[in-house]
Amino acid sequence: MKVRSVSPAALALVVPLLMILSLLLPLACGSSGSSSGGSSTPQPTKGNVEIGLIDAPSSGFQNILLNLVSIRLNPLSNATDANTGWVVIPVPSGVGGPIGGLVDTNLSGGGSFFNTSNPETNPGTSELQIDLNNLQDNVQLFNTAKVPAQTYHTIQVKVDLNIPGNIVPNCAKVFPPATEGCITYPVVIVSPAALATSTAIPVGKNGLTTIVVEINPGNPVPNNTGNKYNLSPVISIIPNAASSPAVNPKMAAVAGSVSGIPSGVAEHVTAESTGTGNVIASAKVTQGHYNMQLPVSSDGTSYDLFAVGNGATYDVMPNVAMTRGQALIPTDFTVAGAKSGVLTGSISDACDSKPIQGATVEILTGTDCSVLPTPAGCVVVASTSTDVTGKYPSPGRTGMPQPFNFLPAAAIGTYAIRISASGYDTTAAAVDNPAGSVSCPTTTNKKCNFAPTKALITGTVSITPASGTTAEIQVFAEDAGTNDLVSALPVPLSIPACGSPPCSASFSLNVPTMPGIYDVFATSIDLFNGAPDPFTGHVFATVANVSSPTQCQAAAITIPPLTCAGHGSVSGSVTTFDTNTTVRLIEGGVQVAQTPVGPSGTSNAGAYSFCAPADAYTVQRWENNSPGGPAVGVIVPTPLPTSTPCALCKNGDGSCPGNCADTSGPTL
Amino acid sequence: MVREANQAAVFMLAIAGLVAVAACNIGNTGLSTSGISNVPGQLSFRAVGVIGTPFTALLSDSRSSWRLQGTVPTTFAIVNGQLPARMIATKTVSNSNLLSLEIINGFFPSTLASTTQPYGTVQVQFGGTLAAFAPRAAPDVRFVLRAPQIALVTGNIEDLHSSFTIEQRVPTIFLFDSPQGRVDGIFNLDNLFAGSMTIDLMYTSGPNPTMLCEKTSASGQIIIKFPGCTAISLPDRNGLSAAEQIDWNAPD
Repeated sequence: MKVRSVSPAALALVVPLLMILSLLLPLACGSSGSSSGGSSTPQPTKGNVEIGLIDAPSSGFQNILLNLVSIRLNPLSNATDANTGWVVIPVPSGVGGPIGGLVDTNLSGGGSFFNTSNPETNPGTSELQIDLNNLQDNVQLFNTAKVPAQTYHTIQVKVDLNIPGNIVPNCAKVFPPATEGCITYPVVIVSPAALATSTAIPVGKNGLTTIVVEINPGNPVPNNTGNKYNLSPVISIIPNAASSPAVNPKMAAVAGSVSGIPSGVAEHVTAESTGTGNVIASAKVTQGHYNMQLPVSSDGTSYDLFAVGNGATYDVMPNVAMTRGQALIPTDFTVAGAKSGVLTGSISDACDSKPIQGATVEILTGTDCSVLPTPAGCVVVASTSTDVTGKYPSPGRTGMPQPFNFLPAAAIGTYAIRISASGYDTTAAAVDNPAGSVSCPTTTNKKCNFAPTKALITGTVSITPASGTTAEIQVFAEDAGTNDLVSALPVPLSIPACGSPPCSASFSLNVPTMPGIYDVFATSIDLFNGAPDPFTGHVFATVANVSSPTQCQAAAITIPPLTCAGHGSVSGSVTTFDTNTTVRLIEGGVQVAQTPVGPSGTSNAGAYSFCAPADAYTVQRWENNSPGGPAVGVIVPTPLPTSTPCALCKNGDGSCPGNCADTSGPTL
Repeated sequence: MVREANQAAVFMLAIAGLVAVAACNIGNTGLSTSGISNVPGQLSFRAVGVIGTPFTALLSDSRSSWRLQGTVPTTFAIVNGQLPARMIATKTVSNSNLLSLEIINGFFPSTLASTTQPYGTVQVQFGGTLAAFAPRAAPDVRFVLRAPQIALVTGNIEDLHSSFTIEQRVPTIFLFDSPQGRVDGIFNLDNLFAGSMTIDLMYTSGPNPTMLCEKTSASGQIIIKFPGCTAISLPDRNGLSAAEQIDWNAPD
C-alpha cells in the first residue's frame, strides 16, 4: 500500500507520530535482550574469556563443516538447557564486534547474534561455518567476551540444530562404491548433548582466560538412507599451563603495557601474520595494559605486532617469533599523541579507467615500504578496500573508527600505501603526513589516486551443457609453475546449451603485466542431482606457460573442452613434512589444486587427499614455495558408467558417470 | 481545522499501525493482519568468514542475475525475487582465509557453504534447482548501504507498483528484481548514535552507463529515488580516469 498525498495538518503530525512509533516499534517487535542465559544473581565483577577452536584430526573427508552459533558456559556441572545461568559467547557478528570482549578476532558471521528470541529485530542470526579439517592441530580464534568472574563447570558448543553442517567425504575405498563421494552430505548430530563437557574453568576478575576447545568429529558414517551422515562429535578442553601465566600449550601469550596513550584514545595492540595484513587478533588496551593469546603452529609462528589508536602514533614490532606455550611478557609499546590526517582516494583501472571495486588498500610503516616487493620489516598497520565507485577507505564501525581517517603525523618516509587487486599489478607509493595533511608525493597533484596496470588473456572455453541448462565456467591464472593464483574471471561464464555441442563462450581475463608468464585453467562449477557440487565432475582444462603481452594488450588462447569425467579422489601420504608442506595436483603441467598434509603427532600425520575429476595427473610435494620432490603420476579412474538420467553430467557415449572410487596416491 | 487535524491524526495513527505491522513482517510468510497479501520473506545471501576477504560473485534468481563484488562481510538481499535462486562466489585472493556463503530466508540461515582454498569457489542454492542462470537484471537496480558497519537499517524499497519492507544490518546491497518504473528507497537507521549512513543507488539500464546517486545523512533517515536524484555516470566508457571525472569529495 502506498500513500501519495497527505493533508498539511497530517504532515504536521508526522514527526511526533514517528517519534511515538519509534518508541512503540521495539515493543511491537520485541525488545532487546541479553545474550546471556539469565543468571539470576547479579555479577558486578567480570573477567574475560578468549575462545579458540581446534580439531582432533580425521581422514577420509575433504570437509567436515559445522555451523556454529555460540559457545556457552555454565557454573553448574553437567548443565543442560533446563538450567539457568548460561553465559553465551556468540559468533562474532557485524564486522567482528564489539561485544565487550577484550580481543577482537578476524572472523565475522555477519548479522546479529542478539535477540534470538526476537528475530524480527535482527533478521539472520549470526552463524559461522567452521571446517574442522582446517583446524587440525591449528587453533582458530573464535571470539572473546566479558563474562561474570567465577568458576564455570560446563562448556558447550552450540550448533544450528536445524542445519548443523555438511560433510564432503572422499570417494569410497570399497569397490564397487555404494555411495557417491566428493559431494556434499548434510550431517545429523547424533547427540548434541555430547557437544558439552564438564571441567573446572576459573575465570578471574578482570583477567583473561583462554579456553581452547577441541572438537573431535569421531567417525562420521552414512545413515540408513545414505543421503546424510551421522556425526557424533565430542568436545574437550586443552588445559592451560598450571603455572602463571596460564598459557595454552597450542598458543603463545603476549601481554604488556602501552605507555603514552593520549587521553580519550581507544588503543589496541594488533597481531598480524608476519608480512601480511591478515589480522589474527586485536587486544583492547585497558588502563594501559593489554593481554592476549595467539595461535602458534607446531613449528612456531611469527607475528607483526603494533599498537594502534586513532589520535596516537603507531609503535610497531615486526616479525616476532613465537613458540607454543611461550609467554612474551612483558611486550611493551610506547605511543604519543599526534595530529592526524585523512588518507583517502580512488583506485581505477589504468586501461579502461573503470573504478576497481574490492581492491585492497594498505598502509605500511617501516623502512622503504614504498618499493616492491615489500621489504621485510614493513608492517601493514591499516587495511581497507574500495567501494563500488573505487573510493577508499570503507566506513569504520561503531567503537572502532576507520584508521585511514586518523593517520598520525610522522616524519616523511614513515608511511607507504600498497594497492593490490586480483588481475592487476600491485602498486606501492610513499605517503607523507608530516603535519596532519596527507599526500602521496609521487603521484599527479600528490593525490592518493592510483591506476594499477594489467594485461589480458583472452580466449574461448567450451563444454556440453545438458538441454535447458547453463554451464558455469570459471577461469583462473597463476604464475607459471606455481599455485600462486593471480586472477579469476569477475564472474563465471554462463554457457547455455546449444544446437551443436560443445558450446563455447569467449572470455577476457585480467592478469598482472609481471611476471608475465601464466598457467591458465578452467573448471566447471557443477550441480549434482540439482544441488551445488563442491567439486567439479568435468576435467580441468589447462593451458600452460601463456605469455602475456604488454600493458592493456591481450594474448589469445584456446582452452581445451571441459568434458564430463565424473568425480574421483586420490589419497596418499608424505614421509617428510612440516607445517609448510603442501601437495600439489598437476594436470597438463598446470597446478590445479593443493592441500596441506596431516599434522605430525596425529593419527592423520603426513596424509594428503584430493577430490579431482577422473583424469591423468601428477602429484608433487612442495615445501613453502619450492618443489620438495619429483612429480609422480597418478591416474584417477573413470567411474563405471550408469544409465540416465545423469546426476552430474553425460559422458560422450551418452552414459552417466557412476559412483566414484578412491585411488591410492603415491607416497611422496 | 481541529477536526481536520483529528482526522489526520487518526489517519496517521492507522498508517503508523500498518507500518508497525509491516516492520515486523520481514521474514514472515504467515497470515496477513492488514488485509494485504504477504509476500515471501526477505531472501538474502551473506558472505562471511575472515573479515576483509575479497570476492566476486554471480547471483541469479529465476528471472534476473547480478554480477557482484565485495569483501567479507557483505549481505546481498533480493527484493521482489522469484525463486529458485543460486549464487556462486570466488575468492579473489590467494590465501587460506575462510569465505562462507549463507542464505538467510526470512529470519534464519537456511543454507551454508564454505571454502578456504586460494581463489576458492563456493556455491549455494535456495528454493529448488536453478539449472540455468538468468540474463543480467534489466534494469540492474541496487541500493548499497555503506555505513556504519554494525547498524540496523529498516525501511522500504518501492517501484510504481509495489512497496517492500526491508530490514538489514549493513553493509548490505539490495538488488531490486524487475522493478516497474521509477524506484525509490526509504531507509531508517535504527541506532541514531551509530553515526552517519550512506546510500548509493545504482541504476543500469541496458548498455547505458551506470547512473549513481549517493546520499549521506547523520539524521537517521535517507529517502532516495531514481529518476529524481542527482545522478552521475560511472566513468566506464570515455577514457578519462575516474579521479578526473568525479570529484569524490564533493558534497551531495
